[in-house]
Amino acid sequence: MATFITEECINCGACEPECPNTAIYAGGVQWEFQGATHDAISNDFYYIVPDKCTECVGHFEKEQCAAVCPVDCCVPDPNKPETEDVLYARAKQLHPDRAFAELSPATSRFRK
Amino acid sequence: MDERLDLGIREFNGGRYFEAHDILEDFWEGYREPDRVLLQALIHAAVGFYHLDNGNLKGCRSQLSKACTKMRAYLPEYWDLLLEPLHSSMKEHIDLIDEQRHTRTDSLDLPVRPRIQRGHRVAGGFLSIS
Ligand code: SF4
Ligand code: SF4
Repeated sequence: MATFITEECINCGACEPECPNTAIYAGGVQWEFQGATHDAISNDFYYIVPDKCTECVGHFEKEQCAAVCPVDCCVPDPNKPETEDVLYARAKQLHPDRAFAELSPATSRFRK
Repeated sequence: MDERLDLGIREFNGGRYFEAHDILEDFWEGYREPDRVLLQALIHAAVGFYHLDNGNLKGCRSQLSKACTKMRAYLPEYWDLLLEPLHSSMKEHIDLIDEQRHTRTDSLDLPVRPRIQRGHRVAGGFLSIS
């Protein structure tokens, strides 16, 4: 399930533009994936679509939403850990037109 | 110090916690010194009391607890902020929320909200000026 947003969210919106996978949506807003729209996962707070979150693997060295969240409420879901392989495969699936270089400490939090 | 710290604290002391968090967050975003952790602690504090005002006890408890942890290194005072009373009040709020976790939110018995006092150090103590 990757990263998720807890109910401590203050709806400031700082995280949304930081996500390289457009996985973050404001509460109540429908999310989009491969041309289809889906009902909002939360109506009250910003939320992360698990199928679109790669924990920033493939893009950045750490989770960008967590880095900018003023209240530290973007956290890994301890109940559903995912491996780097799974997350990297998802990044490639989300960006089929993009050539990904080998993972490195700059593009995967697992390499630090 | 940046005027947003003054404004944020004024909003906090006036009980306008959302506004306080908003102003402090704007400052925190661009402030890159190591003591930005203290600014974030103040944001956690503001958000904690904002959640309390809205009956979100779980969110409140968690934010006040983060505030206490991040503030610890800056006690008892830092810059011109007297932090010890704020820190103790937040700890008291956390303990009371835990004790009254089966009480309805609108019937909770909690102390008055803390203010962030400012002043400066003088021989033998800290002179509060606000
Ligand atoms: S961890 Fe990265 S990919 Fe996942 S929601 Fe946050 S910014 Fe987006
Ligand atoms: S940055 Fe944090 S508080 Fe702001 S909307 Fe995102 S999750 Fe919520």
